[in-house]
Amino acid sequence: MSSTVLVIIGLVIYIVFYKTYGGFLKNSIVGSSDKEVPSKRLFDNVDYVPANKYVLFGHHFASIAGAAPIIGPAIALAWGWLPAILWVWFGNVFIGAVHDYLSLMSSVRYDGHSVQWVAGKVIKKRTSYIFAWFILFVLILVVAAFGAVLGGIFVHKPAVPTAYFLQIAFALVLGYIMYKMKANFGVSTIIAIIFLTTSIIAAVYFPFHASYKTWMVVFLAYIIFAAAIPVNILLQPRDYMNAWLLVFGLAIGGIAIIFSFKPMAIPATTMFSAPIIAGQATPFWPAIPLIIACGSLSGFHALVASGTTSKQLSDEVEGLFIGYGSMLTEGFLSTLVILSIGIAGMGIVGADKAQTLTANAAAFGNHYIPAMKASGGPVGLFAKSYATVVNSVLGIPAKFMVVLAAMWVASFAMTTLDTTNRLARYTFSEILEPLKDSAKGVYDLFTNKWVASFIPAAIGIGLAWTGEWKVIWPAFGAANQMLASIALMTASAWVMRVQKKPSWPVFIPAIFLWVTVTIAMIWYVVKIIPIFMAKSPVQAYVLGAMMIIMLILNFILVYDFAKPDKNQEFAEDNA
Amino acid sequence: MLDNFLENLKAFVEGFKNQSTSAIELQLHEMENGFALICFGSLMGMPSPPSYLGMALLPYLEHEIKVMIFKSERLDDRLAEFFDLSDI
Repeated sequence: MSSTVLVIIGLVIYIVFYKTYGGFLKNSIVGSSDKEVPSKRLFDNVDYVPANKYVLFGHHFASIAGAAPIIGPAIALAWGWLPAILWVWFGNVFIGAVHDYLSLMSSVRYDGHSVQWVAGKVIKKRTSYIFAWFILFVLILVVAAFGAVLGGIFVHKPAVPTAYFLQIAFALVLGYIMYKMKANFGVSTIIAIIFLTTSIIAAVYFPFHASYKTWMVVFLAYIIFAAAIPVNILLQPRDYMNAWLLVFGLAIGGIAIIFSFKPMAIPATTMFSAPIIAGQATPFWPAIPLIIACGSLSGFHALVASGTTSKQLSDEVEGLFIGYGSMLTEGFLSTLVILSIGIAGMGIVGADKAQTLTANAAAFGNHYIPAMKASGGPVGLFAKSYATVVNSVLGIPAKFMVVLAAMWVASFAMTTLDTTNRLARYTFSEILEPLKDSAKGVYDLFTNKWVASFIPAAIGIGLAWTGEWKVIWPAFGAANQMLASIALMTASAWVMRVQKKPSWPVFIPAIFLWVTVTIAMIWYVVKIIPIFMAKSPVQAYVLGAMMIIMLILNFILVYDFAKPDKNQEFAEDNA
Repeated sequence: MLDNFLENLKAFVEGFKNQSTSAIELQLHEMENGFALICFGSLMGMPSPPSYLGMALLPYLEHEIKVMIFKSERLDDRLAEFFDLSDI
């Protein structure tokens, strides 16, 4: 099937479901409220500020779109492009976008409180605490997963680290130009784009070679020291350049794939249990949510939606466009990833491998992951496929586009790595709250800025040290999807107990996701951890312990969901 | 119609700009919190030598004090705000 036809089918599905199912959710589940939105009622000109819906859409989308919607779908192609794309499309429409939209709206009804706080309100107080534990585990695993994937691409494509570090150097200069020389927005933007282009072109001619383990040490140092640098010097100008990378990457890739008119060169389906995680037969169900995380649904989005977006929503009716619509846009990004590898990936892996892979569907399923590993992992394969497609349609030299695409992913993954320690600090203080009075010394030690930064970064990089992204990525997926399941249960409890509306559109996905991810996690602990243990015992014990703790918390969570506190006040008036 | 589309596209890019400045806004808020504590720490029992300075600034900081009191009621719920920065 032609990639152009698939893009059109994807767009049609998204538009039709946005209008019909999204409209149904808006009218029949969320309904309307007599209360004014928090951005107006609680206007403080600091956090609570009504924003234009397109501005808020851009802000929300830029917060939720990162590296994960690119990496996951690239791995999932081992099952064939059809299951991967169907999971992205329908997981998006029925689970991910519902999750984001309902998290946003429940937060709006509770004065812009976070979904974590709302969980404590509509389920049980301790649910909020369990939420914090899951967040901590996701933070550690995100460092591990992104570290391992980034390390792979940095070793395989030495131009990428050069481009990235040049970007950092340019970010420092841009920060100086923006804040010290007070350059206006237009001038800063032009300079940012020139810097970006220069770093990509220069990187092609000056690759930087280092071993995987050297990169791990560099990442660890970077994560810790990024916290010590004032944000206006590095992070803000860097994030601004990243935003342009995302805009360019999406626009150029979107146009190229829409006008490529190329057939999919990989099988639509391969086998139900393709060898993906640790080379073991990995059943599509229940393992798919562990592989495709953010492209289809992600628990992190509930936090973004209820963190800043809910405080800036200027009208409840705009919630659907921002919450539901931006998730569909992210799904579209994943669709582009699947299609670009689908049409160009076989030209990347080398003639011998391509011949083996395309011999038959089973051969593709069996040999796809090793072939991907040889091409620099999921990021490497995506970057090269993307570059080939863009080159064939728009004529931009592939060697520059490979660096642009790899840097696009690397920059977002790096942003995530360096914000992780900031997030971990707050998560630690939440988790250790019970110790504040009983063991003040322990509380003070772990909430210390440097200790709280070091622990998740060190455990994460320690896990990534093995380079086994095939093992670590699904663990990140599991924690993230479990977070999504809690957010969906929270939304479902809100719809049932507060809204008193039919809750099946939220309840069914919540339970489906909970059952799927729980079975997948049990499978992972029983099947994958012992294999990992034979290779890297220390990392396997740490990963296994985290998975088991999450499983236990998971059962407590579902028990609390089924049996809420009888004395609990659910009403929004008590917010 | 084209004007409308371009206007919306401009707003979308403006949103990207806002997102990339959220880290700096967060730092500004933290600095404002620190400033408020220096000026009005004595209101909550924190020994604060320049309280006369705080009193002199009081008429100009009415809005900041309101925000500070509102924020203090929400101190148990700050985590999600920081996720805006995470790009996942």
